[in-house]
Amino acid sequence: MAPGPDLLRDPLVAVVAGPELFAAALVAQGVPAKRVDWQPPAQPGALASLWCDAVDAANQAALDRVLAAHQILVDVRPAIEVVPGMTRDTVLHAGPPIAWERMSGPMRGAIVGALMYEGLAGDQDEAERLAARGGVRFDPCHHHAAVGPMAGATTASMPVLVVENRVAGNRAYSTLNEGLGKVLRYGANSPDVIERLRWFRDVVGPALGEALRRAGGVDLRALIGQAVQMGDECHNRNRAASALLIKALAPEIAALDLPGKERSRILAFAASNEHLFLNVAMAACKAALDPANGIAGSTLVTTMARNGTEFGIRVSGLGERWFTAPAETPRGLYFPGFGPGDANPDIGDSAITETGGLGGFAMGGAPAIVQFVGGTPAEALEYTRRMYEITIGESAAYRLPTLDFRGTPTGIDVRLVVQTGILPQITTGMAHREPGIGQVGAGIVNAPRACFDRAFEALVQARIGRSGG
Amino acid sequence: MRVAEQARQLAGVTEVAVVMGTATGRSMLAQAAMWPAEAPAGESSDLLVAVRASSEAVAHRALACVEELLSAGRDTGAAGWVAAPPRTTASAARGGSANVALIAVPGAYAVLDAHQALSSGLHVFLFSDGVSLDDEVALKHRAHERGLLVMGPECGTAIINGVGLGFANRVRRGSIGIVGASGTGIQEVTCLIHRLGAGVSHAIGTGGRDLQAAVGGATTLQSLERLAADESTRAVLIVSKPASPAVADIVLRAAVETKKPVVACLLGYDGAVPGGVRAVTTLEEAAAAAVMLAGGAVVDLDGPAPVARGGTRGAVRGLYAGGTLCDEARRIVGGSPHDFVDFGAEEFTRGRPHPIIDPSRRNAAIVEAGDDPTVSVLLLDLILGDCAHPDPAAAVGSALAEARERAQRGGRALSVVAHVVGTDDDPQGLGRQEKTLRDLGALVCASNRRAAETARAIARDA
Repeated sequence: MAPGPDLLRDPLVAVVAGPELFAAALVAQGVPAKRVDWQPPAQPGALASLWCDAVDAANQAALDRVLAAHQILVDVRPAIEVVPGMTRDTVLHAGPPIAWERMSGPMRGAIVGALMYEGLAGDQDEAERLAARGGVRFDPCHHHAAVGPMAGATTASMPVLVVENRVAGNRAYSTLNEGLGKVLRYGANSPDVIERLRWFRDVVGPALGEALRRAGGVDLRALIGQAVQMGDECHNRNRAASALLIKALAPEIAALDLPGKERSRILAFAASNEHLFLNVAMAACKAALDPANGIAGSTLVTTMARNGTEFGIRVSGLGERWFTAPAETPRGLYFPGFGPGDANPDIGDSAITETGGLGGFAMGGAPAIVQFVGGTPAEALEYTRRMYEITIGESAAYRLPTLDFRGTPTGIDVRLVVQTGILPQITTGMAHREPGIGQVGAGIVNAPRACFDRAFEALVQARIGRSGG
Repeated sequence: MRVAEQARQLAGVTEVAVVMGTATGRSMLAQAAMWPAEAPAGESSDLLVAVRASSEAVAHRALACVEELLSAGRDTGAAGWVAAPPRTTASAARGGSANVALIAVPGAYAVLDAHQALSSGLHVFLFSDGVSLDDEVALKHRAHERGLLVMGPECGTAIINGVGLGFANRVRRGSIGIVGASGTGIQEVTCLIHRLGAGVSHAIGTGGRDLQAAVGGATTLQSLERLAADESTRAVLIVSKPASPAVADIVLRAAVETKKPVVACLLGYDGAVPGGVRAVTTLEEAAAAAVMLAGGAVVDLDGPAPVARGGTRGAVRGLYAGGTLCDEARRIVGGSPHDFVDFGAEEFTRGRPHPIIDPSRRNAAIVEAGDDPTVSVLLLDLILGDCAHPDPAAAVGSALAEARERAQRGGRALSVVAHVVGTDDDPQGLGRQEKTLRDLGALVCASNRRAAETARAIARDA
């Protein structure tokens, strides 16, 4: 018998699930009593079957791995050199697996652009024909330890960030952020977009890689922790983190063996890109979450990702299976000239930030975000508070000054999502539904409930299988 | 810095430094002469904690304190923010010092909340009924593995460390430790102990089925271990609804192992009793014996039993809110033509408040008894306490008057015999409640046993 709290000696502190009079009687006796805002869940029996020591232990193990992660940005390398399973004719994309026929406008636009950039197609028509006849291999970034914002198109020669998790020893990858406006990740594929990607490949990627190697890497856990205290949530607000990253790398970039004009151009590009850090944050979260995969029995969500058509989640105890549902359209603020009819359904791997305790989960510490996605600072706090209801841990590294330095809610638990009906809150950019136009706004979107219901059903079935009943 | 400041407050600690392992941080420590030569190199992202203290033990305590302060989930409600209440038992339990969950949601859901409480390391007080025997066994097994106690399901009451949970009465603290597979049984014995001038260390409810074969006394046995180790407990009292003889035997042997004087009131149990256990058959005897064994004076309950006058021979109709009280009275009064109804039974409480809170179902039965030509005595219990009806005597008044009027119209006299479970420290006040009942023409007895005996006497001999 493990020693529990000493019931007969410790002062009582109670949680009350039931009528108010029970809590009131305790309070009248001077006993602190926290009352649950109890609402009857559907499927109480199935839920109860997942509250057992085996699941608790699996979740604790998974959560420990996420919270212990120590991510270092160590390098920038061509994808073909470092991304596992990458080939010359592979196009990685965001979200769960999807065939060309079902891809949304921005996803197709990005893939066309990526094929032209790689020289696999001469023009848009050729690229579309190549894709349609199965001439290239599509695969989710997530199947290759990688993540990509919006369309997430990643091909062999693109330089990718290399983030190493020093604790678990794994690595995660993401492309370089192109800035706002006409960019590949939003499906734009005009010559200037392709030209920028070539400059990344030939100049920026090698320069950043060299700078990082000379700097001995950049400690992302510390940097994100600092950025969160400076008002970033590292999904839609990356101002502080981007500045901190430039601050860390500028001395090394200035010292590179490159013409002064190139060094200046790199720094100017970096300085002009408020979302420079987004891809870094995503790779950092991916590096923290991947070690939590595959722990039998665990109900922890390790992936949330969208391909512009479907939203998909993966759960630690359910291996590589995706649980998908139609992606919803974010609600938020539009750039001048655009409106709700222009927005594509939710797209991108960037929900990895929410999965890792940032983004919409850290909104309460990023009150300025509401100017971009809508709402009020009080609502931003409320969003974060609500996420504590569906997570089983709190970040040790990312702490919110607005909540008295409480760690951000981390580790989404399928059991709690299904019981409460509270859905993960994601802050996100919105892509135009037509390829080539780009970002039309930003807002807030929920992960669809059906993903969690399906994963829950699979978890319950797996538990029945294991307990032999 | 805030953390260091708090850890510095510990006695024997002269300095605490909490800095990042950067060059700046290290040189700060070096300047404060808190950077020993043998300190490892480490990384700049390390958090360095240095303590100067009067002894190694104190230093370790300071380190533990820093650790706790660093890991504590805070959020005390910044800037006038009112936190939304938690949505699940699991989230309510997180980040605080909660050690017990009181669960009183409908039975179909209660198992989920109870498992969540156990997952969170909380003891469980499970008031809900409608929990299956399988679920009860699973909960108690899991709790035992985790060193936690599941009081319930269908646990009406407990008094832990002087704090009443559920339907508990305000009784004096003292040296009698109680384990009970019976909510109203515990209430009756704790109130009688109080009336007899003694007090209660703890009263642990186990749920009415704990001594059934399938459950095997899981919570009772754990509770006895805890009472054995509890220094404030000098005598142990076990009270239970009818038990499995095999389980009762195991429990009584375990009770002897507490090495404390033991009183056992296992209703309906007639098996062997090990030496060192004083077995009794009524709750009143149990209370009196426990008071005596705990070293209290042997006193009688105040006042003689009221004398029946002008009653009518006939049947006793016992209409009870307390299940064990009902059972005890039935055993004393006897079976047919007498009739007993326990309004706290699951069939009456499913989807409705307990009769201790809401007397309407029983009031209806009281009125109906006035029309029944066989009934000459109404036998009632009234239960006081923090969660009970605010004025149960007044609440039963018009039903009693109506019943007697109906009986009178039928040319019969209807006697009313009642017992109030409570103390003068309860919000309703025992004295006030008893007076209200007397004013209504009821005979009020000091114990349930006396009430049952009085009712029997009227019905037989009047």
